[in-house]
Amino acid sequence: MLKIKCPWCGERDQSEFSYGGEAHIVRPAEPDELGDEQWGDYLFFRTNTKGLHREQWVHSGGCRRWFNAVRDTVSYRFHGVYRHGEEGPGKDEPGSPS
Amino acid sequence: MTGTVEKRAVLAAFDDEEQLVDEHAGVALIEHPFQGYLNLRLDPANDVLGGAVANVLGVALPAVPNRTAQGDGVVVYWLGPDEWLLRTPSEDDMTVFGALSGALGDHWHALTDISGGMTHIAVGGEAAAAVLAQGVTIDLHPKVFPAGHCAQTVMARSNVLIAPTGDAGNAFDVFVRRSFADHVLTFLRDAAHDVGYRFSRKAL
Repeated sequence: MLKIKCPWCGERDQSEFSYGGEAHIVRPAEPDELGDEQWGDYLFFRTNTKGLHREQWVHSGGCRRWFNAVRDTVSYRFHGVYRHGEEGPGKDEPGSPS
Repeated sequence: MTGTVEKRAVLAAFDDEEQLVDEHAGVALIEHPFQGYLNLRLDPANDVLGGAVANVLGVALPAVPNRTAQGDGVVVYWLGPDEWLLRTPSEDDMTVFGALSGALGDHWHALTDISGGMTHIAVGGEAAAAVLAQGVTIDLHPKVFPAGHCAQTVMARSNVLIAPTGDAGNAFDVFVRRSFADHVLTFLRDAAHDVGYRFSRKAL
């Protein structure tokens, strides 16, 4: 069982949280301009990172707020959490948004 | 149609069952029905709104996560960075709702009466923390969870709001949505079965 630190509520049990997939995926500004392959890439294809992964979580059993986390997909260890709009830890580390 | 509909407490179905409150048990579970609950959302960075609300409630909205504040006839619970729960003594008394609506006026906010959707179970007694701890993963010890704190968490797979009402670790308020109240009370009675038995033996 993981302990996850909600940016507001502090450390809580994993059972209070829901996973929201990879973070920092920006919706294309002009979806109509995209071809099927590009649209499919936006909708379905993820980096499947091995190592530090930036991902979204929601504290669904608590304050019900979304936030981002950096988690190692190998060790499952959380390297930090940050609110939307914040830069987050370790910008130069692998898995950081380009 | 004429006539009146009699009010029925959320957990009224349990009234006829034995030992809802057993004075020998380690824990007493007491429903406090028919209170007023308001959900308030506004921008916490807006000092004008904050001041207007503090004027009405007699206390500022808690800015620190998971804290409560006692106002004039209203208890405020932090639910989120821009969301609070206000508890008033009676769901029929719309004074606070009206005063807040007037004070907030056209400013961007959301004030919702959710009285019918909530109920309140007070869990008190020596074993109160032990009973609750069977259903939650948060630390209920008064050192880290004293009076003035509150926490939304999951108890027996139900979303609940828990607030200690003293610093002795033996009295808690549990707020639960009405559709989950039956399940939560059943869980608490089951959880208290063991601990209550142990405590009644110790008392003898």
